Amino acid sequence: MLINPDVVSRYMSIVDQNCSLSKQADLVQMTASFFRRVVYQLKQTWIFFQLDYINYFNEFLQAGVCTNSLMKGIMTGSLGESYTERKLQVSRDQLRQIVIVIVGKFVQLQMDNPMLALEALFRFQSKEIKD
Amino acid sequence: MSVKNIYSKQIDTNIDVKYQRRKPQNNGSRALKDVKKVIEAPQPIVDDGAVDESDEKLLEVIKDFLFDLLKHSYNPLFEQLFDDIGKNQVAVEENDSFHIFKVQSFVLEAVRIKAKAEHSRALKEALEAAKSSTVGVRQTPQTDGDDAAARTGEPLKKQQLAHGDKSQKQKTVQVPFTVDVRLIGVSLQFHAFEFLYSSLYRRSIQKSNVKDESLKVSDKEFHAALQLFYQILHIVQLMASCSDASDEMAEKNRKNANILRSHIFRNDIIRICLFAFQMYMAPKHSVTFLSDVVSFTHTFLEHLEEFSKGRMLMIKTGRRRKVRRPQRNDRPTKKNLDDNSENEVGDGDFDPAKPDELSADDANGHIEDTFHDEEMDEESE
Repeated sequence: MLINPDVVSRYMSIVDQNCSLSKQADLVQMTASFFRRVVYQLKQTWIFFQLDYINYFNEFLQAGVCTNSLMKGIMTGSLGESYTERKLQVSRDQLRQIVIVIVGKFVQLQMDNPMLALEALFRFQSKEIKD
Repeated sequence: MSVKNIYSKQIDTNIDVKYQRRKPQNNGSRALKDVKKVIEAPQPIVDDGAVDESDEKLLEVIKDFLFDLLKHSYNPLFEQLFDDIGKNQVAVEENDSFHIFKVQSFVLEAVRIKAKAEHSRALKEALEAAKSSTVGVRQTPQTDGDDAAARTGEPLKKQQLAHGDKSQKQKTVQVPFTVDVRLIGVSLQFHAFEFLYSSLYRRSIQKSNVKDESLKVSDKEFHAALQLFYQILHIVQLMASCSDASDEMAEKNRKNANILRSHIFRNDIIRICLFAFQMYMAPKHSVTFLSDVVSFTHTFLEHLEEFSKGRMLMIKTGRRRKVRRPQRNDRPTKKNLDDNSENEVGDGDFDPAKPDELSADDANGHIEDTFHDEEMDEESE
């Protein structure tokens, strides 16, 4: 029942880097847990294959990533000083792992179904239509 | 000199001396005075440490007062309240139920935090005791482990300390945990839960144009009810995790937790979660609502997963059973009548003379059947 675009949209506001909720470690962890449930337990990854969600995922994965090779040594490995920052970093890592899995599955399906990029523009209510 | 522009408005281009930009004044002395004022601002007389100390004392007093209140008046007060609500002696208004939920969730949270704080304090004490005992172990003469170390030729300290720490850790980690739910017993009773669930359920099926104010559930009330439900789930989790085997209360808590869980999960709560997600509108509702919904859903799913391991759960849903209507064109012939009478005798599940003896399926579909009968009566009229 929770495999619903409305529900996933609400969860996406936690993934969204501009929202204040994305700074709460517990919520980020809960979101990662829900995504894991959808992907591994329910096997309904198709619900994430929407353009706006993929955009949120992209922003999330790009946040804090340094492309400058000179700055890489300084930027990486900074877990944060306080306990809250470290906790947030750990929960973000958990979310990052599952987001990478989702994006990977999207790319894989994209190879089989070239129309997926177009389908991602619209909301689909069931897996059958999506595939 | 004047120039005409496209709007035929005359602009005076003669620059008057008095409109020239002023030279920046030297405000050095005034700025210095301001700085002086800031520096000479009155310093706090009481230092922060003293304030913290007094705050802590005040908090202790408030906590004592709260738990004193809980011990003596919380249960009777809410029992009376639920009795009155059950007998329809009190008209429950929108704000009343909101405050009931808020007070209950606050009290449940306070009890939960107290139980955890007591447990962590006990853990700390046990750790300190373990530390002191490890010092004692080091001072004792050689044991079997030391002999083995001597035989292997490895340094003594490493093996001995590692072994000692492990055993001590195993000892210290097992600090029994208990939570005293007698203070909040009334909030964990079935009728209290039914009252809470009915508000949540009514809001989830409520239409926008409800005229009856007594049936209307506001968003504020729904949020408060959700917060209370979240606290109940946490308390039930704590009750289930009571680990003191020797304590009678811990054993009771575990049993009660199982009963409560089976009662809670009988209802279709996932529908409420879905409704709460759909209800949230970013500009209209606060962000706290969304965070509460996410936390509640997470806790609920975890509980459900833990509880349903190796069990078959039955959930009461709001789905209606479809009732087949007999075709109007069919005229009752003698053969049909005979068949119907045979079927009635053959089924034997429901005896019209004993309407109380309903099977489980019939009991669930009772509302639909009665509804259908009413419709049929209207049609016949």
